[in-house]
Amino acid sequence: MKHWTQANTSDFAYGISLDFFTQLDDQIEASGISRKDLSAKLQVTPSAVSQTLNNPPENPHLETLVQYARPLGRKVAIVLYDDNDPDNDKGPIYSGIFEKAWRALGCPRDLSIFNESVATVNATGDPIFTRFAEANHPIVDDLRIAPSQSGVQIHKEIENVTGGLYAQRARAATSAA
Amino acid sequence: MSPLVFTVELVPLVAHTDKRAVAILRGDAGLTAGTEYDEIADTPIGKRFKHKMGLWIMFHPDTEGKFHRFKNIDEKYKDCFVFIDLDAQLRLYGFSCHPTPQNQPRFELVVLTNSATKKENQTDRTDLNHVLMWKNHMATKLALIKKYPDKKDEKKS
Repeated sequence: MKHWTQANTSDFAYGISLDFFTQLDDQIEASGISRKDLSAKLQVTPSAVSQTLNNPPENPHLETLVQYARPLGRKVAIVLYDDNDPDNDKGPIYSGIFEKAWRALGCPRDLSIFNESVATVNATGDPIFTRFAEANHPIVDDLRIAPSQSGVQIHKEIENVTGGLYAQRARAATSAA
Repeated sequence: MSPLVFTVELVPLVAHTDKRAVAILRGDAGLTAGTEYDEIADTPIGKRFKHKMGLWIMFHPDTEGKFHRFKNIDEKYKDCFVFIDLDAQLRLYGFSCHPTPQNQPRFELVVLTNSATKKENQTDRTDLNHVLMWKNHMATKLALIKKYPDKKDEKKS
């Protein structure tokens, strides 16, 4: 066992809860809504909101997640994914990454963009691209729409996540293509 | 009297990467982060800390109530770092460093040194001064070199 969420299903569920409430905390901060206003909408005390955000429930009901999301105008999805880590050595992907990736794609409401023929970046020989490709990294799939506006946004998001080096190389590969 | 020997131990059950990792410095009773963490590691508090370490490792921005650096206090504290659990009123302090400037200059490691239990949000420079003391300790430098040898063709221990 290499990651704490692999100990048992309860720990994995706790990881999901911690992810959700981290995202919620981030979005409360970004939206500017005060905890007092949020607590009024939730019809609980501000200290109860703080308590939940600081010490999220270990196995919250789905309804609890919805009750926290809707007053902010947010929705909740459950995402099933394969990250090439069947033994969960690396732990779950942070749920905020899925949300950012969705926004970077232009917030599609249907699957049509995935059925269209999209431009492909000629990144052959780029050492960073090759490293990701050899690892069968999902970022490689993102690169295939790099020349479009949404691709630029994707690179910006990747830059946020990986610290810049990858995005810099990917941009160089894109402009060379 | 034999000289102090410290060890740098990666926090278990956290997904460290080749870009970022979190470690605990051990080898002296004053290094309270390790002893404190050992006590809570398997509790919900410990799991919340592991989650926050995972967030930092995957480049989640610093967040006041979860983890952050100390950039706006004093230049000398710029490498100090803290993981926070507001509910448990517990803070794990340490410092960030780049232990492999030759082989992997971008690799960043947070080394946890001391802990504090406190309710207030005000930064206590005493905690940060303790971090600097441990950071500048020769035994710490030797432990980092032992854990992360930085010569070409030399592998990590």
